[in-house]
Amino acid sequence: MKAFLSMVGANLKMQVRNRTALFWLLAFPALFILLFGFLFGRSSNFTVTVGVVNGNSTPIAAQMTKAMQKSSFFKVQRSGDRKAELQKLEQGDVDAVLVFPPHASPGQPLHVTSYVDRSRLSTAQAVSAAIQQIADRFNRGVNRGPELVSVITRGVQGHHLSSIDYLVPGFVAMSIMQNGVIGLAAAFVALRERGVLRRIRVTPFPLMSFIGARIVSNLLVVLFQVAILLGMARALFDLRVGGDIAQVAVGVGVFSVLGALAFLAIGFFVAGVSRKVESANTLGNLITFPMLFLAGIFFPITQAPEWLQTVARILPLYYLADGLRRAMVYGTSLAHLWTDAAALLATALMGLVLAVRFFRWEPGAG
Amino acid sequence: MEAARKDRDTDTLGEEVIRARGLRKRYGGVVAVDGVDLTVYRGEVFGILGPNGAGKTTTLEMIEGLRKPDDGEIEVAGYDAVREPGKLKRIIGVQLQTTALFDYLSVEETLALFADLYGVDGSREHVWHLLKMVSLTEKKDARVDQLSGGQQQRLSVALALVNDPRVVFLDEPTTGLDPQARRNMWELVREIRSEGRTVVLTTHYMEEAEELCDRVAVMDHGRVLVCDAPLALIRSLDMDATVLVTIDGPMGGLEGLPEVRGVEREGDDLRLRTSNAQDTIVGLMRLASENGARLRNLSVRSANLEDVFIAYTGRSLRD
Repeated sequence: MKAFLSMVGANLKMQVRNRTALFWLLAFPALFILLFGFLFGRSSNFTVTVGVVNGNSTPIAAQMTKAMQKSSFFKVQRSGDRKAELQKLEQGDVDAVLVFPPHASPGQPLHVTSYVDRSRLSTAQAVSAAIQQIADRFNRGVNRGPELVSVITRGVQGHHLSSIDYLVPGFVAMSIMQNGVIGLAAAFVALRERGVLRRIRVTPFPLMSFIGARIVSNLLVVLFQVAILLGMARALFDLRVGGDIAQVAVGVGVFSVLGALAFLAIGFFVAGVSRKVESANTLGNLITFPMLFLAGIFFPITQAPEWLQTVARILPLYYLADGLRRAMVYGTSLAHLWTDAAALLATALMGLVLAVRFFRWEPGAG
Repeated sequence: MEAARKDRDTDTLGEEVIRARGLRKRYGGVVAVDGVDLTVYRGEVFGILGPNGAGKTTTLEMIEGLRKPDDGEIEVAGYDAVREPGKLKRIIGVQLQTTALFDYLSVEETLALFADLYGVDGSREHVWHLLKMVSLTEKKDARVDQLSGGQQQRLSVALALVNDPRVVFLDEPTTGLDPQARRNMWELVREIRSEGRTVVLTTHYMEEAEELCDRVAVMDHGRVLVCDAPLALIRSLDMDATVLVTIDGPMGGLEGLPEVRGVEREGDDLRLRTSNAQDTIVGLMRLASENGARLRNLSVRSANLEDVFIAYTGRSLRD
């Protein structure tokens, strides 16, 4: 066990120190997310649109609404219809809805409800904080008298999707695929052809454990990579989180691991049939490159012609991107994602069969 | 075991550590090893000498348990190398021909990792002791890919010592090294032996085998031609030295010179193999003055393992 952990640790060290691998792991997908984020993303952090209901019902309500109108952070849309505003919030037309009570209750603070889209975590947090700040000004103003305004924040599940919500899970899937297939195959061929595998073979450490350690460290790296990329997309472009954060994290984690296993298996197959690092790279690209364009990474596959949709549905990348997207953006629970999961498992098994069939420990002769 | 000892000088040779009988290995249609018998005794430096392609590495890797022989038996320190390679791995140290290590690890990390892979003490003290032995203490934080060829080779030897092995196998430890690095490696091998370990190494440098090995097996075309101490091998030749000389002017009758065993001629350059250098040189001088020829660059080289190889194969080791 100590040997296994030691090997995993060494793999992680090597991964972190390998600049080229790090580029493909983090910088390359991050560049994609940044590029498309700035092209299509909503720069929601600079101003937020708030639908205000009953903004003139009481003097305090009127003053608060005015204070928000003066602030450059808010864009206020007055309305009398709470239901219509909430619908706008769900569709992403407004970022928050502030509902004042129709009339004041004497002796009680003014109960204000602020509705935010809980799937847009950054925006929701920013809006809530800004509204609370304005309310606090009223509460602090009258030399610590009774509380004048109390704000309750309620979350609403929006169902609006922006382009970035669609694209980011696809980019993450793409990066899992490339690192699984090309990253693993190139590294493994190098280890084999340079004779590192033989050196391991003369130690009592079983080569199966060596491969196991490689897979475990790869999975750890993938989880770390996915967390960083999604975290970045959420911080910069308020990527939609489609539900309870723990549930989303589990869903995304499960699909990252399944996807990594599927593509690592393909990577081992590529390593088995390649004699040189260059040929591993070429074959890896030959397998992965078409998937980038056919598996619906850049645009929803439903907009594509019929034949393309059929093609997409036999590509493992389609299922990884779809699974990640649903788990992350729609917050679909794993129970409803079994087709995606099954497709990835099937790929992993098929890849495993091929990998075992073509596997070689020894450097290729001649 | 008794039979093997009988034809040896049992007083100077100790306990058998390696005993290989009738090893055969073929790759496709090519016979790499063709019936090799070897016996290695405890505490000696045993060399397998031969040109590239002689079957040295294949023989070594079968003894290490890394390759399965098509035929034959191997026992190393009481373990059957064919049936118990797992147990064997724990008591032997191996340096492979190609120095293959993880690029992005430091020297110290590499040693600690391999200590863990062997399940032995990977503490800083143990690693430090190994680094000291191979003179790499100053390089402990250097990445493996930043080391020179000689340093990589020494690290590779340190890895072969990580599990405190009884037998150490070194496959061409000095190939590709400059003369200074080669001498350092020889020192290291002697130090390993002085710790009481048995060392088996392959080489295609005869001076290395002569300098370093207690006994040498000379291999060619997958067979052991002869096996004994280097000096004993040389003395067994009906030969004393090689006389090298350049001759200006016509001269015949060289084969008739006293004690000459062979004549090689390349233009004016002459190599005379002789069983008595003094008689041959005196004869050569006389012959030259009779013919009115001039002798230049006269030198005498004592017989060495190269001559042993030529005597057994009829060709030079470097061919």
